[in-house]
Parts: sequence; C-alpha cells; structure tokens
Amino acid sequence: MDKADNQQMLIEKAIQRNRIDITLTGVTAALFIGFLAIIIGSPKTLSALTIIAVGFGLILYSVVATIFYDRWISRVEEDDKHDATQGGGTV
Amino acid sequence: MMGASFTGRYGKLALTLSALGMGGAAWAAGDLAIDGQVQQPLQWLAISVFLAFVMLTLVITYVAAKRTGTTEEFYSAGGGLTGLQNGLAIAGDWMSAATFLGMSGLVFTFGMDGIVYAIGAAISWPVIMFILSDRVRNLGKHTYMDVVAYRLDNRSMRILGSFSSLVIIALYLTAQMVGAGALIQILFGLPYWVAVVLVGILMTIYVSFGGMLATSWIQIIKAVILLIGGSVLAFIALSKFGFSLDTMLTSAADHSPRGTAILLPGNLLDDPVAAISLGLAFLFGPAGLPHILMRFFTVPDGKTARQSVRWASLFIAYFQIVVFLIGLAAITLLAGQAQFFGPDGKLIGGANMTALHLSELLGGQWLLGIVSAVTFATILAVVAGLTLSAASTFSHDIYATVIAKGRRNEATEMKISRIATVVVGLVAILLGILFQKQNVAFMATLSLAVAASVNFALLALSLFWRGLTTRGAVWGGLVGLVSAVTMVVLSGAVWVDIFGFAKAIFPYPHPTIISLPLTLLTAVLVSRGDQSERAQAERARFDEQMMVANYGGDAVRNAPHS
Repeated sequence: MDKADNQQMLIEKAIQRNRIDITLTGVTAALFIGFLAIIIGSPKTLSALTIIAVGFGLILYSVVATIFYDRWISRVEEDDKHDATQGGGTV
Repeated sequence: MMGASFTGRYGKLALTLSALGMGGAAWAAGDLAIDGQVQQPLQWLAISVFLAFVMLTLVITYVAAKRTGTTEEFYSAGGGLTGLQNGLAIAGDWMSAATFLGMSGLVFTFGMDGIVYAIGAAISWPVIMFILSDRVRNLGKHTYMDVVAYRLDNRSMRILGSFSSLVIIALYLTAQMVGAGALIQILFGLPYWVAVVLVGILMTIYVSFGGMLATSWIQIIKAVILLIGGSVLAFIALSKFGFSLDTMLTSAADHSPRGTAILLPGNLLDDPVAAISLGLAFLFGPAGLPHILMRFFTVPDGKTARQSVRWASLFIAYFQIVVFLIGLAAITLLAGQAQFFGPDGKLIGGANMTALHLSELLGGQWLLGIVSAVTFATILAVVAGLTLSAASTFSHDIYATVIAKGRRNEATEMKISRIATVVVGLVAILLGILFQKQNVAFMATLSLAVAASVNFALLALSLFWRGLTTRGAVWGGLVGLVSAVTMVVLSGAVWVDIFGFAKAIFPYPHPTIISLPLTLLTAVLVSRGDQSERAQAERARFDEQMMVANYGGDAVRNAPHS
C-alpha cells in the first residue's frame, strides 16, 4: 500500500469513527430522554428503589461508557499506527 | 430574600438546573434560595479553615507565576497536565458550590425528582468523550474557537464565538458572584459587598499571576477536598441508617411533609416538553461551556484529553451519587431539629442550606466550619476558571486574531491577558454588587442554553458536517443566540418574576428544545444555499480537518498533498 492509499484508508476510517461516535451520542441521548419520559409518563407506578436503581445505572453508564470508549479508541489508534508504518506512511 | 420571589414550575426548573454546576443561581430565590438576611455571627472556625486554604492557593499562585512567562503557559499550563490532573480539574470546574448545596437541597425538597438532576450532571460526559475531547485537543490550541475556525473564516468565527463565550461567562460569573456573596454572608457572617470584593480580588490574583497552571492546581485541590468532604458527610449520614437504602427511603417517607409522595417522581418534573428541553440542556450545554472546553488544551495530546474526560466522568458520577444520598438522608435527619427551621417551618437560610445544617447536626461546629470553608474554596476555584476563560477570549480570540490579525507579539499578548483579567475581575465585582437584589436564576438557564445552542451546535456541525460554511455558521449562531436570549426573557423567570407581568409569553423555563434545532436548521439551510468560492474551499478542507481531528497534526503534515 503506498502513501496515498494509506491516507485514503485513514480518511475512510475517520468517517467510520465519526458515524460510530454520532450513533453513540444518539444512544446516550435516547437513554436519558427515555428515562425522563418514563419518569413523567408513569410516575405513580415506579417504586423509589426502581427509580434509584435505574438512575444510578445511568450514572454508572456514563462512567463505563467513557472508560470503554477510551480503551477502544486507544486500541484503534495503535492499529492505525501499525498500519501506517506497514504502508510507509506516518500518522 | 435576595430578590423577587421565584416560585412555580418556571422558577423551580430554572433554578434547579443551575443546581448542577451551571452557576450559582440556585441560591437566588424561591424554594431553594439562600436567604441572605439570615446572616450569622462571625464564624471564626470556618474563617480560619478558609484562610488556610487561601494561603495554600496563594503559595500555589506564587510558584505557578514563576513558571508562567508565555501565552502557551498562561492559557494552557504549557499543555503539561496529566489525564488524572486535568480530569480532577474538569471535575472541579463542574462540581461548583451550587452542585453540592443546590443538589442536596433539591433532593431534600423534591425527593425522587432529584435523581434526574444527578443523572443530568453526569450524562453529558460520554457525549463530550464521543464527539469532542480528542478532536478539540487535536484541532485547537487555546480556546474552542480554534476548532470552529479551523476551516472557516477565522475573523468571522472568532467575533461570533467571542461574543457567545463572553455572554455565557458574564451570565455564569454574575450568577456565581451573587450566589457567593449571599452564601459567604450566611456562612462567615461577612457583609455581602465584602464577600464579593474578596472573591473578585482573589480570583484576579490567581489568574493574572498564575494563569492556567495556578487555576488548574487550585481546581485540583478544591476537587479533592470537596470529594473528601462530601464523602465524610455522606458516610456519617448513611451510618445513621445502618447503610441501608431501604431504611433510609422508608424513614424519608415517614418524616417528609410530603409523606410517601417524596418517594415518587413528579414533584418537580411534570411537563414532558419542559423536561425534554431540560434534558437537551443537560446533554449538550456542558459541551459548549468555554471554560470546560479550554481544559482540553492543558494536556499534551488527544489521548490524554480522552483520559481527562474518563477521570472527570468518574469523579462527577461519584459526587452526584454522594450528594443525592446526602439530600435523601437529610429528609429524616433534619426532621424535628427545630434549631434549623424558622417560624414558617422552612429551613433557615433556604433549602440550599441542607448540607450545611446536616454537617452541623452530625459534626457540630467543627464539621460545619470545614464544610463551609470547602464551599467557599469551591466558589473561588470556579470563578477563577471563568475569569481565565474570559481573559483568554479577549487576548487570544479578539486581540491576537481579530485586532492584530495574527501578527501578534508574545509580550503584548501576555500583557493584554493580564489587563483583561483585572478588567474581568472588576466587572465581576461590579456585577455581583449591582445584581445583589436581583433574581439571577435566569442567568444560569440562559448561559447553558447559549452554550448548547451556539457553541456546541457550531462545534458539532463543523466537526461532523462537510457542508458547513462560514455564512451558515454565522447565521446559525446568531439565530441560536438571539432565539435563546429572547425565549428566556419571555419565560416566567424574567417576564413574570423580574418584569412583573402576570403571564409568561414563552411557556417553558428552558429554550434549548427550540433554540438548538433553530441553530442547526439555519446553519444547514444557509450553508446549502452558499455557493461562493470561499464556501467551496471550506468544504474542500473538511477531509484535512477530519484527519487532524482524528489523528493529530502529523497526519496532515505527512500527507502526500501537503
């Protein structure tokens, strides 16, 4: 793979990452807005423990999502560096 | 009271929004106000602990000043912070006194609805991680406008971005100063104006001498002591219930004036449109706050920027849970403690005093003194961060780019940064005193709305949509700014509570549900219609921008076409 091909491959990977990131943002927004909708929609049917469990679960999600995302992207970056070196390019 | 009464759904939503670190407006009025007239006698223990903190911060500033000689060091601490350090500093920026006092007061008053606000404070961090953190670091240098202006017209974008950033900071800073004055009045027994002047002078010293390095370390230390202070208080409170959540909930229902309703949602949030608007502000507002975005430039690379968000997210999530539990425990523990309630049956000083009354109940004057001092330290650190952000906007975005047109002189820019810091400090003191008797709850609402509707919207479009042009960005930003301001002015928080009209024209407390889509729609429509040569060139640079955003500057420097 020459340098130009390698560059094109990186652009495609970046576009792919953009799509994934937008999807993840959408999922996060949907989780929170969904929780709000449930709270407002059926307030009298939920027990306090259920609300706290789901609420703390969402807070935990915010931590776990950032940890795993960072790990995933770091691994992808390492792979990209490896690919670029193989192709004679530099990232 | 510090201002006009502020009740009803508009008021509750607007001011509780600020309870999550959006500013000090939660202290301003209504059910969650701190009543400034309940001034305490001089609290010498609290003052002593606070003075020790101030001495420590001044030593830090002295050391940092010796290492702050260039604009790079002034704006970004030389990019030398680690992920953990910057994560703590970001968490410190976010965990304001309003978060600590406002959130616990919110749970104490409204019960289960408080969980929504706890989640709201945490949920924006994955969003910032997914779409901003490393991209902002890779594309920018000192302020977030470096990112938006990367492929768009530098001058136009800086003027728009500076204006929106200064609006956000002015609103946020005023809310903080007014809240700080009232809080210090009640905690330390100092007159309001003395408190405001003291905060203004200290923050000016920190920033003008120590720049980002001093501000960051003050923020780090404050974050650590706030986390420890909150944990100790929560631990003691939970021990009273045998660490059983079930016991705490049952007891809360038995002791709350609302009875079992305190355990059900709907005490505060009952309108779906208002709740979703609030949700959008929580999700996207923090991603547009200039003082938060500026923190990504204090680390060496994109990877460390991501690590910063990871750490910040962890600390913020933990703190939200701790504060929620403190509020929940207070429902039972403060019940029946007549010394904390006034003749009207309400908490002395307002519901925002929940955590402080609880600390006095559980640990006497010592714990109250320590928690009070921690709270004051928190205010100082947050206003210092805001001041630095405003000073950087003046010197980096307005002077260096718009006025000097890139032909800047390092020494002059540093001098302007320091002058800007002093001016911002003086303006903050003035605003704090001028707005003492005003209801400032709308300011926090408005600052977050502008952050989401202008800064975040433009950042997201410029990073992810090839079609964005300068013309589209400018029109979109202006429409977002004007619509957000107009809707807040026409909402109950200003139209009814400040202007005194009987009914609000805009029926919701937060405009983001309308202003954010308006910005996006305008930017897209105008950009699509823009077929100028400049627009073509801006679209053509999208791939280059995407490469730098994802892989750093080397990706472009080594590209075949460069």
